[in-house]
Amino acid sequence: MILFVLKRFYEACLVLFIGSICCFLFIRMLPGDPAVAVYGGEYQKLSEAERIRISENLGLNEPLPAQYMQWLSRAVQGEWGTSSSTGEDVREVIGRTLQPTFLLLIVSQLLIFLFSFLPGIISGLRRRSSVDYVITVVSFLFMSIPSFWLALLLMLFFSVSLGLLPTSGTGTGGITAQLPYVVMPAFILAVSHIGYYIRLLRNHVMAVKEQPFITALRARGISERVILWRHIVPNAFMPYFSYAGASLASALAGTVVVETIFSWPGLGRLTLDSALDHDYSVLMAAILLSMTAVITVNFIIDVIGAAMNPRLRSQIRGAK
Amino acid sequence: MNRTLAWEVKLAFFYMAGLILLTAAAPVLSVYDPQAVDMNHVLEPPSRTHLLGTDELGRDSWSRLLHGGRVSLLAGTAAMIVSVIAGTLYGAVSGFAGGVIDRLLMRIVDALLSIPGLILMIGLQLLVKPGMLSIIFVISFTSWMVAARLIRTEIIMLKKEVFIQASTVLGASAFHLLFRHLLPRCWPTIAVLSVSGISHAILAEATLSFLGIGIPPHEPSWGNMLMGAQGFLLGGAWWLAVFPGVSLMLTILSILFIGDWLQDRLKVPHLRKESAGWKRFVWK
Repeated sequence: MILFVLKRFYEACLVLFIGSICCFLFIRMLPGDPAVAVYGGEYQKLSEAERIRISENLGLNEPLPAQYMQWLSRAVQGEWGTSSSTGEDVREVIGRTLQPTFLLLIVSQLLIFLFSFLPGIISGLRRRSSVDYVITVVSFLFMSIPSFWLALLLMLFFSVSLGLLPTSGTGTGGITAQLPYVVMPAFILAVSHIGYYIRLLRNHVMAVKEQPFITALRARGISERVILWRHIVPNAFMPYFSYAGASLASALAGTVVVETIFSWPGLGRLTLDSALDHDYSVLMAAILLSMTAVITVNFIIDVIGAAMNPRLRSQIRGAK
Repeated sequence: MNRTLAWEVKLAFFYMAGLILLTAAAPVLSVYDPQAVDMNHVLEPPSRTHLLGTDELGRDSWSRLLHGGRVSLLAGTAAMIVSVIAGTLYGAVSGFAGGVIDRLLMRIVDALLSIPGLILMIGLQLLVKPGMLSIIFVISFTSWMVAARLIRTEIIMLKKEVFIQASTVLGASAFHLLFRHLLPRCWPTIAVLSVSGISHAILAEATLSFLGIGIPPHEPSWGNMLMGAQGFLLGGAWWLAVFPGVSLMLTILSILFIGDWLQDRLKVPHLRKESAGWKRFVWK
């Protein structure tokens, strides 16, 4: 187990390292002087001599690998520069967006589990029945609805026609005050995933159901209810659970769309805004942060998975 | 597997054929220029003169829908072709080489996959000028990784087969092995990847255009039309949002059904097992 965790940790670090190199190269390819990214608007006011000194200090005259190391050590220490559009510290700008995005992701994940658990199990158990058929068609429909379009329609229906839910903002105060604001964006974020979760659970229930040990349990006279809830569901649940880690990247991408439409002050909207404003230091921090989050969550979920299923420990992802 | 097509797959093929015909004949079927502004007929509901109504600049929705469909299908197909070819070659080289090279190449794929797709696209959009070609570049650059992963797994499995060993003994070059023996046997996977790749690319194009960083706003595209509709929907101009949205949804749905059918029919073995593959396509 410890060996597995170490190996998996090493791998996660390696991926993070390569990802950060990609990000660094990407910054270099962007138009504009990197010194501007650090000093923001102030840079225009500086004299030529000061500019030369700044590029010296920032190490812009050194070879790329050395520059990369410097950039990395600054990033690790949390020096992400200032936002070129507002002049604030990037850490503050990013920090503000974390709680709303976190709330959005959690609520949508809960909605996903809520709406996909039973349909997935039912359609897996009753394969090729009319219920399975309906669930399959609905889940395909959910997969193919463009989330931004659904957002527009739901907004029109719930906010304009019925006046039930607010169209934008976050609500002030505690979590309870935020709930009415988060429901619609979270549901839209969930819809595009629900179909995939249903299909995944269905396929795994179908596969587990056919296993010899289920027949053996049945032969011993164990009741169908016990077989289902004690044996089929726990076995099919793990891939379903670990899918949450893998779908985090797409969920984060989804927040860009949803947060923009509902003017939700989260990380996704910040990413788009900073790209449109050419606010590179904020954009870079947002990209690095989402990447780190995805890698970390996947690492944790893999470790939980290995703790629950010893067979996973012996093989670390893929053929090696 | 039954021989007769399920009705939803039939419908899907029928819809796609209709869509391709209609969009191909767009210049003939549309009376109005999709970009012609007519301020005397602004935001008109569907009528006999304007089949699907007009938008906020008096542009005819029907002809914008047809021309927009062209853009969506073209961008989607082109981006899919580029990404599938790039991904296949990358995955084939990685799986065939094995060892350190394989590990390094795959970690690069992992790293790129852990940056949310849309966020990567937004970043890349800063490097290029907006337009059709850059959209194709951006979408294909951010979606070749799935193909690379799946093809690599397949190549690694195939590499152990006896006929490959036999061929190696006979003195076949790596090039010969890869292009005459290994890759042709991957074609079921490539076919399924291509179909799901189109739906991914079409959605990506629509999303980018909707966010205002895709196809330039004056050119018709389903995403652009929906972006325009956003402001007038609350004022009751439902026709602006409904038609492009429904066409987009039906297109994706048809492609999903066709892809699912193809996957069953070709019996692609590990696409189901390695769910790591197609789940990456959800990111909208």
